[in-house]
Amino acid sequence: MKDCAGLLVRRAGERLFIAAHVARHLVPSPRLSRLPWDSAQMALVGGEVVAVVELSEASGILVLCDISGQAVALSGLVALEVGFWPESEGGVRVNGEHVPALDLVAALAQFQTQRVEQVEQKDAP
Amino acid sequence: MTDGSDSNVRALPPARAARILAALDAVASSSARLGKNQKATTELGARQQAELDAALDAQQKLGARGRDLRNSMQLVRESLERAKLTALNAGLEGARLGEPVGKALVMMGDEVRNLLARGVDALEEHSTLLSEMDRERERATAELAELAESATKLASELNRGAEQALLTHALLGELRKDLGEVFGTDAEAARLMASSEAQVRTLTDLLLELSEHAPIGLDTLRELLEPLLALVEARKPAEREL
Repeated sequence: MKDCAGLLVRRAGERLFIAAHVARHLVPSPRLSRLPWDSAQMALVGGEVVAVVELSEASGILVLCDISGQAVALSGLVALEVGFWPESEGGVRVNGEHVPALDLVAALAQFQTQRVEQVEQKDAP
Repeated sequence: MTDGSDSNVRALPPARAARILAALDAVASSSARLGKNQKATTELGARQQAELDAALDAQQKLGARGRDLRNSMQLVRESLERAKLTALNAGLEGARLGEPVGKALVMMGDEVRNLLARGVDALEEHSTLLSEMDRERERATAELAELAESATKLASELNRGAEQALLTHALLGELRKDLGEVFGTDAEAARLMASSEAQVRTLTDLLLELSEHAPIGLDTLRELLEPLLALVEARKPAEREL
């Protein structure tokens, strides 16, 4: 069983794993700007404007991720630890306990669905 | 009616008048002493009030220092949190490098992060202690303020007491003067007469005692005692009238 390098985070009491090739950097949360008629937020990080996906209540930091070549910042996560842990089914094993990997695709899909729902609600007569 | 009472007062035996005047003197003197004591206590109260005000000032300055300390602790906390992020980022870089190259970086980042976490915990503890101190300081300030208010009231009461003692002293002085005029006698003369009367009584007692032990002729004794006894008896009707 090979070791996986990555970042352990906590979201609303649940521990989750983000692989090191996805989690690029941690930054103190900058000022977030909400887009009009949308739940999406934007932030200026290192001179670059990035989309911010809100996964939970703000924790004071953003986890900058590389998702399919796009820089996306995740808010609402608390960074716990960085390390190498043995791979387990859909995650890693930390001190004998299974920690699932953060499902970024699902999070993004949920975010996009919410966005569509919001637009639809606003357009409804 | 006024004449009658005047005559009663004038008929007051000098010894009685002297005793009344002496009592008045004693009351006046006591009142003067009370006034002086009240004044000293008022000064003490004012000094105590000034000290309480100074203590309140010191407490307020302490509160301002506490706020400064809390602000600087906030800065330290923010710096430690930033440093923790830096340690995590160093660890992430090491994790991306992979084993075995990046392992050392991950471990070092982890160690630094743990140390910083201990620093943050200690800071939290300091912050809690500071909050407790602040609460105690606020309680002490409130108690001091109450004490200062009580001291103000006490000083005011003492001041009023001192004024009243001075007024009483003045009134007693006037009363004494008036009574001296009403008794129609000088206070010093009345005191001397009272003293003479006491001496006559003592002398009479001594002569009677002597007659029991020494062979003094009855006629001689009568000759000696009669004028003295007459003098003492002459006082009695006037005292009975009172």
